[in-house]
Amino acid sequence: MNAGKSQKAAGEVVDHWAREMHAIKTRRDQAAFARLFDHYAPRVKGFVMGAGVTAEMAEEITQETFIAIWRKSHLYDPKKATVSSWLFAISRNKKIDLLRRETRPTPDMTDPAAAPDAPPLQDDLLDQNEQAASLYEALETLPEDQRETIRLAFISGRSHTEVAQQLGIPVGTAKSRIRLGVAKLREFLEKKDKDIGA
Amino acid sequence: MTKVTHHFPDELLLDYANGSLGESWALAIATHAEMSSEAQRVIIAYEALGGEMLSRARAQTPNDKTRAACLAAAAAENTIAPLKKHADASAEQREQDPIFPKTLRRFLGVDLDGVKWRSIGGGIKQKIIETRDASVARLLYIPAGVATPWHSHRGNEATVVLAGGFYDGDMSFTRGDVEFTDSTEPHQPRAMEDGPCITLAVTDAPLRFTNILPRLVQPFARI
Repeated sequence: MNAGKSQKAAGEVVDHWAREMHAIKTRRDQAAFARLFDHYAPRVKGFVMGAGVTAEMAEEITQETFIAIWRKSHLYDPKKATVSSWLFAISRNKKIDLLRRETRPTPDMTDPAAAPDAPPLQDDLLDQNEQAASLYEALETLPEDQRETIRLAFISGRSHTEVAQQLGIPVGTAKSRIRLGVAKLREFLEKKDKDIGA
Repeated sequence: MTKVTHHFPDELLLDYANGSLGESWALAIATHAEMSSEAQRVIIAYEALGGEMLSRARAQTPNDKTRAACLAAAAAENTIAPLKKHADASAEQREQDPIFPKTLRRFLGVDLDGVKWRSIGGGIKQKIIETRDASVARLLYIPAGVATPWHSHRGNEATVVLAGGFYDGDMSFTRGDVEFTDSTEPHQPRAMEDGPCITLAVTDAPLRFTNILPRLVQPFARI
């Protein structure tokens, strides 16, 4: 993606994939699925390999992820998740299934048929694509130690305890970096919500 | 619905979102999140961040075989899955009036009325949940007004309230709340007076009881 583009333009690019997902979901559009695969499968494979998974296993995770995308496209709700965050969540779950032989207890937040016990999310407050993009921008503005600790947690797929070991810092330091960084991200989102709600 | 006020710390929600938590802890967090819109919001935000990082990952082109397998699966399953009607689903849910959130019900295969409890003394009952990680997940049933034995920890402990509520020191916890402790300070949760308190509790390491009696029971109760 072109870094020079405005936020709105970036949002439109992401919206393109939400439209492709819509075609997959409502029309079982195989050509759209092939385009989604060609754009995102290399990123899924690359992201999974970045977390230290072998190329062979990454290949299998990628395949399982995209078959799940096709089979479960009726559960995709663009109001609740961007296409990339859905891919992130599904590939993470497939990785857990394949590597640990554990099941992933996952709340059905994207399932329209599930009536969660909690009050419904106010998902209309902020467009998900815009929120994801601005959250990433906000992450970029954090102090380096907080930003890199949080980023490493995602890139490596490791726990904060393991991230602390990898960085050679005490676990307590990793915890406080994450808490401080996340507090700033939360503040940022709350401010956004207020701006939009006003 | 009472607002959930006690949450998991950020670093654990991050561990949950990036998939590094074991099954027991993931179950506790998923259960809490289904009762707390705030926790859902945080997890959704983390997954969005993860998605942004995935979008920016260094691309590794998959094998042609993988691509062919995915497209073949799509061609073979080319029907539109019937969408469940939302109204029907919520009507069904109301009818059953479940106590446990959906993830926990699915994990156990039963709701509260189907739990096979084992008495561990003092009116307290437990049900160990089979998980495939080193931590221990259990359901606890504490009668109204009853206090659990004083205990301390060697690792983390999380207690998610499923029904009723409890006090610990000057803090109170009701449905959806989680008490998370990583300290070695002994504590003694006490169920509220208005009914039994049912919780999902996860511990990293066996608890240490400060009384002699629970210590004798401990090897058998897997506390």
